[in-house]
Amino acid sequence: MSTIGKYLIRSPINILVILNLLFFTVAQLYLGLDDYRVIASGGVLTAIMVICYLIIVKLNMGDQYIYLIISILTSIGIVMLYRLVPQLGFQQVIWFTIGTVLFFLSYIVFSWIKKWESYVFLYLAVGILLFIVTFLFGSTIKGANNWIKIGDFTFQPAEGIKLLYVFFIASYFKYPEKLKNVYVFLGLVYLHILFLVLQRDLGMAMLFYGVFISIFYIYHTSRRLLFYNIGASMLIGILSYFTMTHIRVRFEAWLNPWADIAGRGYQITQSLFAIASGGFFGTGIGLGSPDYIPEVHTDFIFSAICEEMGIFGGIAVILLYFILVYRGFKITLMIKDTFYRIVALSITLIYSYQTFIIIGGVIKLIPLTGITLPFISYGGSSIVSAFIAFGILQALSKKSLTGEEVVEIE
Amino acid sequence: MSSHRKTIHLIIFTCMLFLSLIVYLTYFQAFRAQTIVNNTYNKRLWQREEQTLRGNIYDRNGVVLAESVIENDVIYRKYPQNRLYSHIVGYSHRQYGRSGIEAQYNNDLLGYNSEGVIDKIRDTITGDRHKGNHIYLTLNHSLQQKAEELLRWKVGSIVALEPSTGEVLALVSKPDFNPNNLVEEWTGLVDDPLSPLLNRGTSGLYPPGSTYKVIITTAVLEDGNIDTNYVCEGSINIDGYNLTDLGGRGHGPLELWGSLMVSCNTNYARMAVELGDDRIRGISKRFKLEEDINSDFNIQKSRFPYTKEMTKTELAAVAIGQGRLLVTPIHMALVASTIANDGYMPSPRIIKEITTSEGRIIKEISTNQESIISEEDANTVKLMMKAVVEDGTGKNAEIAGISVAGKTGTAENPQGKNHAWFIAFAPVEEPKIAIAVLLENEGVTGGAVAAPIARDMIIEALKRGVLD
Repeated sequence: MSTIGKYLIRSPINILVILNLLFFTVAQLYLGLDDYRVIASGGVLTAIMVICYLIIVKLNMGDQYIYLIISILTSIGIVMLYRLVPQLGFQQVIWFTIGTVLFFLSYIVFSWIKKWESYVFLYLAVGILLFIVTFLFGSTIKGANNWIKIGDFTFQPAEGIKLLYVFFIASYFKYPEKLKNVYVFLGLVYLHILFLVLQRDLGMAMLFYGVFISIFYIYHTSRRLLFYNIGASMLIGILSYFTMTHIRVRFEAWLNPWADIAGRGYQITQSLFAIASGGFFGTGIGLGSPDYIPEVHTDFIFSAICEEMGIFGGIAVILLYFILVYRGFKITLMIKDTFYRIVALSITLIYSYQTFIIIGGVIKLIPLTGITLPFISYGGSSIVSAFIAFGILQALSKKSLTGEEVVEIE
Repeated sequence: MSSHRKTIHLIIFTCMLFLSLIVYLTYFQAFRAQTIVNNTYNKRLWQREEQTLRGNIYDRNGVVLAESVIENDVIYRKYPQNRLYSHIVGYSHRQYGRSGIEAQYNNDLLGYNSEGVIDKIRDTITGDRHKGNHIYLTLNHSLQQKAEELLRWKVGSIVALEPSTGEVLALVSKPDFNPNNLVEEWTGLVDDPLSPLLNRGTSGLYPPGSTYKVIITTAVLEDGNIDTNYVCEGSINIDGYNLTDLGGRGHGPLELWGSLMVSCNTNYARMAVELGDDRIRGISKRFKLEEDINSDFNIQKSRFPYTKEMTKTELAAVAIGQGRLLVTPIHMALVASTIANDGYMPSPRIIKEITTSEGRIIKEISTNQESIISEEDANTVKLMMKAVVEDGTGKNAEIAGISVAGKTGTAENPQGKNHAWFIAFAPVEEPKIAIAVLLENEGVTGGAVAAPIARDMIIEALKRGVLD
């Protein structure tokens, strides 16, 4: 025991290797032994993870845990996808590989290019342009008009706008004078949110608002304006409850989904059935019936994890996110430069809020709004943008450690 | 406040968000999950059932009444007797739920309450279908067929019991339905004003009419101080209400025997008023009106809804089985059984045994009876009921070679035509069968229509030896 324990402690990557060995063996057993592709892809996946981890450590690329935790989360997601829709599992492995490449690419690009803080108008223009393009050429999937189709390929521009939005906010607070005054800034932020509401992407709208109000709380000196903002958003929330039926439907489905199990409460009750059936320890992978939940491979994947791995499995996933977020906060606190600090903080907040919004939604703690569970849900756009975001965070961790930005250029 | 401190605030806030997720999830699992899992909308409940080979239901001699068959790897529930057992066996249907024995003994049929953890794991690993338990009912298929034949195209119920054990030998309720065709017939069944889904034998509530005089007679015998001699003039005035006999002609001079034989309403009304609230209420309660009947299947409670002391007119109405009195046919069969069984009322039983799929018996019938009246009084009433069939209103139930005891009833029904009743048991010397026949809205006397049905049932049961 003690030797195994020591071996595990010596390098945390060993935990990941053992975990993946177990996960993919179980997934292979579940899918049958005649097709070895699952265990093979698991092997390739683990190899990529180990190599990349070693690169980060050996090349001294800053924080050693970010990539590790992301890898564990992605592995959990891929195993669940193999169990739910095997085809999507294979595709997710590809998305993970692309994501990893982009992770390192964004690390390099972000470190290489200086003066990120001076392109406030560029971030704004590209972001708004993407919104308009989505608005004009977007197609509606699952009730939200937020997808762009190019051939067989669909992607969610909002996932990209998310990063532009972070850069926009950060560069504004670095050089507030570039926008005439704070009201222009507020107007532009609300324009983003308005676009999302019009696309019926409520989860993303909540996310954008949450990040904005958090950063605004920290970096804007006038407390009165903050309260006005909070007051105004509440007013808008109440107004939209009375004017927009799809918002009211969601709210009522949250208050009492049992009143209409077959109708508007269907999704959430199926999710609760799954979580409740799992108990504390779960049914075991492949032994539950999470397939009854609609959209189980994207928005509701956490319910599937709870059913088959128990709420202890679910809490473990929440804690993994928590460690990831903790690393983000740690990096944030070590950065002195306003722009980089806001970027680091915003990325951390975006992913912690996103995790809270979707997990809270599927367990009925808060009203359900469709958004992906970072790194675990199936979805190219979401995986790619998350890897880019954490690639940037990785670059920022390197900066904070080497003290490159200690001298603030004012 | 410095931006650094505000950042700390935000970090604390984020920690609270994550903490709230964990706390809520734990709360949900600890306090809410159990009720949610058992919600009927949870498809997992049905999924488990789809993997289970539901046990079969048989009559007492092993005739199949309900069985599970596998076709193309899908399990179907089949009812080979079609309509014959529609109410008592009931149905188990994904869309329409369950009824009858299928509902009440669902867990036994699925075998969930007898399975161990090991069995469950073994089934999961081997992929074997879990096998439920088989149920053998006390019903006698031949007698059930006869009862159905006698009641065909009528509305009503026949209940036949073994008086000494309370075992249900036949139970038919009409109109009925075919549990194999629920999908096609459902809307019609639900909309039908005659409610074919209702089991009239166990859940139909009717005024007992003159059959209730059997119970009043025991009260008169127990009291011993009532003057039973009476000259019937065809009507009696009680507290301003005029109560008449059937047909309106007087019966002339009568005592207790004669009053039961001709079913004299006026004398019973007079005697009940003399007996008073205590006696009438006491005997009704002992005969289980407004009381739960101990049984292994669901029986509707009979009604005796007099909470305050009864007035004279109310006493008179109860004496002839009218007023607000309501009983189920099986309850009246139990009343007949009590007289037949020396004053002991048996607890009705329908489950003969439950066996595992391999045939090991896991539950066996246990009979039970309760003393209601003295053996002496029971034997007196027994002979009086014999006289009803030999020389009274129940002459239509007479059988050459078998002594039959019975009582007719013609219950006035405020909603429509009269209900016809007949309760009987035979042979009087050593009763083997007790019967209640009810015909709804027949408009004719119980002696005319219900008694012949009881007679044919007894002939089937005793002469042709189906009970052996």
